[in-house]
Amino acid sequence: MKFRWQLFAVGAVGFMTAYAAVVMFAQNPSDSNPSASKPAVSNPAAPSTDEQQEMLRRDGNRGIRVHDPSTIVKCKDEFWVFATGTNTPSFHSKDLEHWIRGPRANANPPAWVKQAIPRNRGNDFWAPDIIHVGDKYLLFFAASSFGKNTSAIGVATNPTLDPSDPAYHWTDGGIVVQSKETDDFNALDPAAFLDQDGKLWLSFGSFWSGIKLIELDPATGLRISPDSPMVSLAHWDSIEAPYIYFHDGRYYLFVNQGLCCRGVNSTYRICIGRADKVTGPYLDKDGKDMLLTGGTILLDRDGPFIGPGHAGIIEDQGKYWFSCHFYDGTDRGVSKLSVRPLTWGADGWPVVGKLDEAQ
Amino acid sequence: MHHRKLWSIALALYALYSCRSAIAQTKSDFPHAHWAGINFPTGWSLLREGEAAGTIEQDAKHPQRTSPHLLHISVTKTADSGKGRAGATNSTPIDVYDDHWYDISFSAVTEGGSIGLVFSLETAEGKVLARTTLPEIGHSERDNPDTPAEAAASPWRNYTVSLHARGTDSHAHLVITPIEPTSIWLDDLKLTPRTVTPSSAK
Repeated sequence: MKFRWQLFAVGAVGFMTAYAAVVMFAQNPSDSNPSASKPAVSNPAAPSTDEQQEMLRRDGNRGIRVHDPSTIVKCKDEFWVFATGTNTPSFHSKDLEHWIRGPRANANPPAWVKQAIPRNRGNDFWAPDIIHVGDKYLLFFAASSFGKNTSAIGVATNPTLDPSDPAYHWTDGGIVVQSKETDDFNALDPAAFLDQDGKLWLSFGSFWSGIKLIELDPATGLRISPDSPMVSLAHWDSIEAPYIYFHDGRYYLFVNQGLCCRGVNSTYRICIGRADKVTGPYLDKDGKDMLLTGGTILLDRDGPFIGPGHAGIIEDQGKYWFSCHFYDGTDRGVSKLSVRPLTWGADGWPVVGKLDEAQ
Repeated sequence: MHHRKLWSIALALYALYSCRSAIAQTKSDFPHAHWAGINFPTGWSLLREGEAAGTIEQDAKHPQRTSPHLLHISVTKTADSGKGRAGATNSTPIDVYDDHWYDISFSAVTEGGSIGLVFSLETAEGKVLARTTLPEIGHSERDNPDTPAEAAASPWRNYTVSLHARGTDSHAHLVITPIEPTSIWLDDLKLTPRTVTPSSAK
């Protein structure tokens, strides 16, 4: 009898430990992120208050758990966003406010992932980005292994994002760009940009020697040639998650400086510079080149709104919206989607606003 | 017969010329080919700029490493990129050439979690010729150790990092700075010039 009780006690403790581990894993999206290294929440934030919730509401909190969100795109009457995670999860919304989980884009992951990145499970994709070019959507995604620059950015295409459309089907387009241990860059965090003259570009980069830019073939999403120029755009001690947006004759480069994936201890912040050419040089508000540690802070930690990252902009019905993820200081540092208004100042620089300011 | 002899001599001369051209081309492309690599057992001093703070110790000790030339860098405060840094700088002159590649290998262990390290080749005036940040040094949970015995015995891990020079200097030096507060031990630091440019990074 005593032995049975011991067995029961051991079993109960084991079950509770396993349950706690599963819950922690589910609540910590950084588990699937390449830069995660420390406990996401080592210093729990203050208890949630109505004031903090109101702050987060005005900061564009949409409630859904995403990490490294893509640019938001529109298909028919719905908005779509993709994020880091197994098989590339997606979410859709009719109003940018209420989001519903959609199908995973890489439900059938391409075979090249496991070959190119042996340490990757084969369906672990990071920081996707999506763009509509011509008659199809191009989804860029990265596969890597933890803390290494053995990485690859792939592309998949789909004529529609509406899963009820008979034409809905993701087609693997192959590897766009790849980095190896002997390279000084990291093929991670892709962000596509369609120029005014129809040229397609891909900015990318995470740590190592910083942010890079290559030109793509708009028809395929692949690099125009394997040895086409790779331009350096920005460098900082810890830099990743680039995004380029064209406005009023200038190219704006958004990057993340600092460290992600540490919950409320994350130091991520979004910085910007602008250039007259897509290839740079990108100068910050003080005229400092982003290749030489320049970069003006656009969005930083603000109360429970912690570590904003992976900028994106969508223009809809004459309004600009800025999207990113943030770590929720009222919810143990879980990363969530933020969508908030963006305006352009008299000096041309973007200003990220609060929700009520747009209404 | 006379014709054959002349042809043979011409052919030999051409072969010799081709061979010399190939050698000259190699020397021109990789002028540092005469040095195979540099080790950095000593010659370290503290680098401290701006508000950053830290200490270094040469020939330091670590309970799980018997090497006599460990470098211990302890940084207590870091600053934003470009506004300050603390770390170690080495006095060994390095022959660095523009658009050439240099590979650094080392072993390391950290105390208190993984960190990022910035490796740079700089001139005496502080101009950065090459710089790369290697993240997650000291991370071990998902890292595959070289051998099962190593995994069981030691938290030390081997790393490599590549630097692409954007300038020339015959007396450049190596600088190592953590991007956040840490305590890190390094061993077997070696810098090797590369003789093949990676095609993916052209």
